Amino acid sequence: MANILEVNNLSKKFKGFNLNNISFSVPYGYIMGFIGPNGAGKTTTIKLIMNLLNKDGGEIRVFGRDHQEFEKEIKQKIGFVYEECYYYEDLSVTEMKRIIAPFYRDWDEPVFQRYQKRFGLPAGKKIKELSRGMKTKFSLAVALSHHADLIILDEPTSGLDPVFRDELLEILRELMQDETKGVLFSTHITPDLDKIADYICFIEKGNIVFSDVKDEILNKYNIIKGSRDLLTEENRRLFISIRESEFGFQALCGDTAPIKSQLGDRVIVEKAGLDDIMLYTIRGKQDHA
Amino acid sequence: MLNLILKDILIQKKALVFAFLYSIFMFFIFSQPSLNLFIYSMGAVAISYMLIMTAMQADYKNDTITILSSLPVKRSEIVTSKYLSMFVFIALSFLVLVIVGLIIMVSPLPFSVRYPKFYDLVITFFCVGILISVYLPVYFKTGGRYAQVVFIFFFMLMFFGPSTLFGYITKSQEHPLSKTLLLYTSENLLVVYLIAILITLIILAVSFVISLRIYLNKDL
Amino acid sequence: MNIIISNSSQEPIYEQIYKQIKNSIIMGEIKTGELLPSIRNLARELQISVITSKRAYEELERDGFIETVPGRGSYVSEQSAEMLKEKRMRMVEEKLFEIVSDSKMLGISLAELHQMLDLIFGEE
Repeated sequence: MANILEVNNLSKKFKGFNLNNISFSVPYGYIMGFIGPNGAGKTTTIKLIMNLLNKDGGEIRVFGRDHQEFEKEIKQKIGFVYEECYYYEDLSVTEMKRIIAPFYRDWDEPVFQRYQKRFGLPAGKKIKELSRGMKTKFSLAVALSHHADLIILDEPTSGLDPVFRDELLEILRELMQDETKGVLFSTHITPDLDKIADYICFIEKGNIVFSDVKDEILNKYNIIKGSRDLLTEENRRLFISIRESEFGFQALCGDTAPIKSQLGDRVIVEKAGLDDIMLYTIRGKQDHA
Repeated sequence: MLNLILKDILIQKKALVFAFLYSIFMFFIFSQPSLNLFIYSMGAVAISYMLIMTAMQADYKNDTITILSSLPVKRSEIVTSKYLSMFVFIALSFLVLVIVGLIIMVSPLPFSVRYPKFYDLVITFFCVGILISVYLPVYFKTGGRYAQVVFIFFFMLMFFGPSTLFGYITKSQEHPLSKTLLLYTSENLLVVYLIAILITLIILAVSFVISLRIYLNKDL
Repeated sequence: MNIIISNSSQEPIYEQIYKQIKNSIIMGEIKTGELLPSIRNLARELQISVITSKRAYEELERDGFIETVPGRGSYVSEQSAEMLKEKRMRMVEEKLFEIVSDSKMLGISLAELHQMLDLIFGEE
């Protein structure tokens, strides 16, 4: 299976934060969810892919080619939506588009018009008068209007209402009807990815915690709930992290079989969502640090 | 890359309007005979500076560099376009001045207006070229913060400098240096022009190389 | 064909889809040779990931219910027609067992049963 994006042993040093040998790939035709808490390194990784930052080591390949050697060609086919979109505030939507469009060889004006209409983007309004949601919609419309094959989204839905978040997911689903495209979706709002993502890459403090098929991840982890007296010195170690309250405990478990065999009916076993997995895993690292 | 230069123009429609107003103002100030020599050059310098300032300010204030660098554009093209836009801005300011000048000429206004001459262009080129050469590397390195200060300093220098210097030289005509300078200049005008242009080009080239060095590998 | 997914069930989503499609095939709701929705289309309609719907189809193909032709799509396979027939026969057989044992208990003879069968078959 060919990869639309390949990151191998990527590293970058900052004062007080390092990206350590990050590796992951996104195959053609699939969506990779890139999750992690704030400051984990998601935006840094994306900036490195887009060549906004210089890498200290490693390799990045987009469409099978080195991302720096073929930078201009590659960027023709990348649509991006960043968390903060910095445009010329005094320009109108149409004027801003007129500045960006000529850079793209395959700019498709009718497509942009369709999205503009669909999102309700006011053509004549100045960028500074747009709400945050509208600015993001503008970025999205631009990203989708030049026949891009790889769409990179960095926290596109922070601060947006559920209605638009749903619409964004719908758009991505439409996009994925074409198996020559790919999506890298970075977010800390994981419920969006629970359904739509094919692969999940979890990054924390500059390190990849895991990178795997989403279905397998969700099938592997479970939340175990029960009364505290069931916990022993021994079986505590079977959990990734335990949260105890006055009335009982909740814990994340990566391998449910031993728990089931030991505690069986005395505990409740529930599916874990990506946010649970993320939360408990981070807590687990803090506890064992 | 043409797009980048075009962008610098498209983002300042307001400034272009101001340019026309400035020109009228310039003609008024420089209409005194002693300053008449510098009307076109200083006018063009002032307008060019304003256009450059607005363009750089827009990028700096709005932090658009992230978006620009994510577009299919090479870093070297971003740097090159900034240097090339200088020529475009000089051309634009001259155009505005000439148009306003012609309008004033045919109007009943009491300003005295002359036709532009080649030396106007040379002086403008020199003044704006030196500014760009110092300003752009600072801008690329610091993202606009200290560059502002550099800009204003140079603006003052270039705006008042040439006329003051000229006035000083003409006043102290007895001084042997000024005498030889004036004599040489009046006899070898073309050579003086060529030297000025050459010096500016060399300084610009050096500045360009420095800017590339700075910007090509900068973390944004 | 209806496919209803439960997010809260412990059963993996691909398995739910697998079961429901298999059922539809067996019940004859989808006929042999009929084209199923594409994997990507299914994923979009059900709002699940492509890998999930792909897995369901892969399992259906592994168990012989569907056939995938590259470039065309997935069809209900001939083989499944056989399996279908078999399963249906078995279903009817089981019901007949029940009827026969009930009849024996109630003292209804084979001849009487035949008569009833002719009548009912004829009516339908």
